[in-house]
Amino acid sequence: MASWDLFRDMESVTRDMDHLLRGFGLGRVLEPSFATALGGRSYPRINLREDAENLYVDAQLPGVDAKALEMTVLKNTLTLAGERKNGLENVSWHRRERGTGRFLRTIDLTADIDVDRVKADYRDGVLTVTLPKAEAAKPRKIEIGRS
Amino acid sequence: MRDKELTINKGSVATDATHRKVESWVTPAVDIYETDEGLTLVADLPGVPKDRLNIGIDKGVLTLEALGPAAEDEGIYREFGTTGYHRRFQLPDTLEFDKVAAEMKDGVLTVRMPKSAAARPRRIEVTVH
Repeated sequence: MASWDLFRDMESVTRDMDHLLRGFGLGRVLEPSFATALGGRSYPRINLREDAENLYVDAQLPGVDAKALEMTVLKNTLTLAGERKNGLENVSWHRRERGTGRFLRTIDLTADIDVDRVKADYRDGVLTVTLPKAEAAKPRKIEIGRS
Repeated sequence: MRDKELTINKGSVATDATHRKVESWVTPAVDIYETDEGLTLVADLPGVPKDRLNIGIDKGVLTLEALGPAAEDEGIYREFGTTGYHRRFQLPDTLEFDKVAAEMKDGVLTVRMPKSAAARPRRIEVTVH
């Protein structure tokens, strides 16, 4: 029989170190199921940026069914919740680094949002949420009166 | 669209001129599983469009190299940057390298590597007398 252990990762040192540290002292039970591949960080990873009109949240969500994603906006918080599934059975695993399971993340936004005009776009595994700022939160030019 | 078949380069992967702009190189998380037919590698490459992914097999080494989108501006808060993904694997020689197929969908790369006929398990019928 061929030994599939030959399937070596050539730059495995850091990742294997992560695994060692993660596995140390804690049983599997305590591991957050979806965060394992991310070293316990919040999932998903996000970037927050803005222009004069909108706030933008970019979230890395590869392989997630975008239609099943739950997004809620309340004044100045955005909540992302969903699930990444892995329906494989009867296969033998050599590596399992990609997490699966349910996730939820609440993001505090830096301005109040016009909740009726929020848009989201999913492309190449990245979700981009466009959050228009509420009128009151937009910068306003102040006219100086002449006396 | 994005889930079209990808080309597997024979020989070494060409280095991209855009390398200098990449802030960080990340080892993508992968799943590898085996069935009777072959091995499948699944890698998370969020933000990578099909045309910015390089896969190559050279002397039994599978190389994945990909570039994420350029970060548009500094932003308010950042947890990921203009990311490049890079990872290499030594493949067992019982795979048929010529029949390796790859596809990219929703930031997830799937590489299917069939086993050569000699490496597949064969069911042997036992004749009972």
